Amino acid sequence: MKILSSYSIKGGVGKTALAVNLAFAFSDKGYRALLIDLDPQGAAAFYFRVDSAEKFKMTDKRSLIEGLRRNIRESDFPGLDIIPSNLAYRHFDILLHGMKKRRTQLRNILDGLKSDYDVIVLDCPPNITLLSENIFRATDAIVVPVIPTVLSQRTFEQLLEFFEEKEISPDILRPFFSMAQSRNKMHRAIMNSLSSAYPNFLHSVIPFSAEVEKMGIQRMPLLAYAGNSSAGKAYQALCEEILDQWEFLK
Amino acid sequence: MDSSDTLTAHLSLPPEFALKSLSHEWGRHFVLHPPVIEHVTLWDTFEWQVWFSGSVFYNTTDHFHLCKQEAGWMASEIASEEGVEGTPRFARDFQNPALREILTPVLGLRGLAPLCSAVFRRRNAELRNDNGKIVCRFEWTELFGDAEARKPLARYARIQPLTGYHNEALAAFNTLQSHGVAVSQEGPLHVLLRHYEKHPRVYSLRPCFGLEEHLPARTAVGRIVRAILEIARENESHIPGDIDTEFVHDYRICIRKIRSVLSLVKGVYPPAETEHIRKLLAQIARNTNRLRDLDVYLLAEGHYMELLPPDFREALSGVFEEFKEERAREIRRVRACLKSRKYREQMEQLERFFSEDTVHEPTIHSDLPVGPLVFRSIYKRYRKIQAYAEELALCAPDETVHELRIEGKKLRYLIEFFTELIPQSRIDGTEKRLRRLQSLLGEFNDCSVQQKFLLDYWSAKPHHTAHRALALGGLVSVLYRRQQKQRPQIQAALSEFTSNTTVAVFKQMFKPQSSKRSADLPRNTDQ
Repeated sequence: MKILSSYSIKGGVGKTALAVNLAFAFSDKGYRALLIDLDPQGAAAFYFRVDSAEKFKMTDKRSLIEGLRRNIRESDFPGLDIIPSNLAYRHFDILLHGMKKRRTQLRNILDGLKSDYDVIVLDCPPNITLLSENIFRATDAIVVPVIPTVLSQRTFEQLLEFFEEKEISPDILRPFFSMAQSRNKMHRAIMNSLSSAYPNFLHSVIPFSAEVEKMGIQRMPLLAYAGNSSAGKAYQALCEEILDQWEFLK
Repeated sequence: MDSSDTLTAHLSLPPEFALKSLSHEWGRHFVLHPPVIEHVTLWDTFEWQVWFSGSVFYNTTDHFHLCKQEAGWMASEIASEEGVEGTPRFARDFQNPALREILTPVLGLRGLAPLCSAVFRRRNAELRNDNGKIVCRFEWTELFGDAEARKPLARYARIQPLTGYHNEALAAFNTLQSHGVAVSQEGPLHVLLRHYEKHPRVYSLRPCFGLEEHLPARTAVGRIVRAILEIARENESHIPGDIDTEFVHDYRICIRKIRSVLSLVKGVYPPAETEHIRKLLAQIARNTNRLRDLDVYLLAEGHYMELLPPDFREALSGVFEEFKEERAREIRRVRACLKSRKYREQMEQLERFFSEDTVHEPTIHSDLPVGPLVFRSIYKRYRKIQAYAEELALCAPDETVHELRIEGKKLRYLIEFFTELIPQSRIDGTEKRLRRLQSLLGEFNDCSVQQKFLLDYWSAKPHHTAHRALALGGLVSVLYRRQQKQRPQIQAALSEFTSNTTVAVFKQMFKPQSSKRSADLPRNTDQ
């Protein structure tokens, strides 16, 4: 089983759209996929028409695994399950703080689900907390949407600094350009400079598209209803690129 | 059955049930998809080997599928093949190695044939909640006997619960139950086979005759013959179809067995009539002699090829082509023969002779209890084999080995026919030794017959190419060497079968003066 995270410090960059479509693409290829919505906003589950998770006790590792298991919901798409978000995930940090090996505890918890899935995709909350650090240490690859703007560039660099500070290998990072506008000169310049500075950048670029925003109306992954649109094809290419690296992921 | 098993069980729909009623009940939340229609033909062998291996083999328009069979349903697929040309019969007729590998041991020498056809009409449906999320799926299946049928033979439903939506599935189940839907007692395959009056049954050349020790010998022999004759006639009816070579083979075994039982249990019918019937049986068997010989050769074609160096194989393949052509003519001849008035009259004569209603003159053994009579015969046969053990030298002529084989066969048939009268625990080890001896003698005889067959072929056709002559000569040599190698093995098996312990078993169980065979006889440690 492999664990992939869709992560960004900054919100509104296409993180959830990536997680949703990536999980769908995996299941579409025949992998048993589980999407865990760790973002208390619960957008990922909303896209799949799944209600918020039932409340459950989060007192220790065992209760957490049991609670997560109980909240697994089969999506409308074969081979794709979801654990919806719960506002109580706000307390994840507090729980992890109280545990032994608190920085790597999430991987242990997720390993409890490994017999049922080939891949787990995490839609992560947009912040840097102990949970984020756990995610970084639990994950085989972290896919990071980066809007080609100065601010996004800055946040990406902050993330790299965090990795350096916590002595986590940046090799697991797979950034890509999201909401890119090819006609925008600044976007083009930032894309050029960032991708030459960081060779891990994925080649696929997700363009800014109204089609992606319609996911909120359609309430399903873009790949499920508009796989042939330009944005759909871009997501398809991005997922293919990640799937191509499947064997190379840690 | 716990609730989750019930939830996913196949359900039967009552005749009055209509899907429309669910649309009324669930409104827009119930989404019904268009039907998918599949034309299916089921296949199996005469012995139902696919069915008894727990599988089902069928074809759709363009695919052959081998699936597990669960409670009369086609379950998970084991292997499949797309676009098979012609009518496949044997494992070798399929391209997919996985399918071939699985079918080979299941089918043996038997051929597949279509059993019956059906039409499956399937509709998927789903139940959605207020968010539009699917919370329960359904599959509706209607089974029709053929494409023109309007009324289904059976209708089924199956709930497919979604993880995390157990309560919704349970509610759907309760709704269906309120419409008279219940857990199904039989699957569509059961319904279909019953509709076409195809009943999977275990086939055996060794049926139970219902014998008892004190039964009059004629009654016992009559029962044995009638049961075997019935199997012979069943096989005979399939010979013209020529699905596989086993019909002729088993038919011949049956005819041979009937002939044997008449000579092994002597004096049960008037001598002249017995002789007449034995001659009749020999005539009947002769009809298929050549066909069986050719079958034996053609079945072993691959094996023969492997016996020769690759350079000679092509020359030999020409020989097999000729055998194939001859076989095609021979099966036509056998078909015509089985249809002929002469053959029909011969078979009627046989059936009449052994009918329970036919009265024959009493004979010296006809009313004797069959047990002691047969045990005496068994012991006599065994003593004959013992005599061979003392005489059989490594250099004994083939004919002597052949005679020993015939004696062994007589003993084996006697034990087989009257197995119901013999305590199995006592005879098991002995039977095993006899089988081993017979199998070696059989191989020895096959080698001998095959050499003769090839030499006859050689002399019947004077103009062989040098290559073919070499190939035939090579094959005869290989067969001769193999035959000679079997001699010491036969000697060893024979001395084992006539060892002191085996002798003791035969004496205790079958020797006339100790025919009481009471339970207090000492047990043999080597059984």
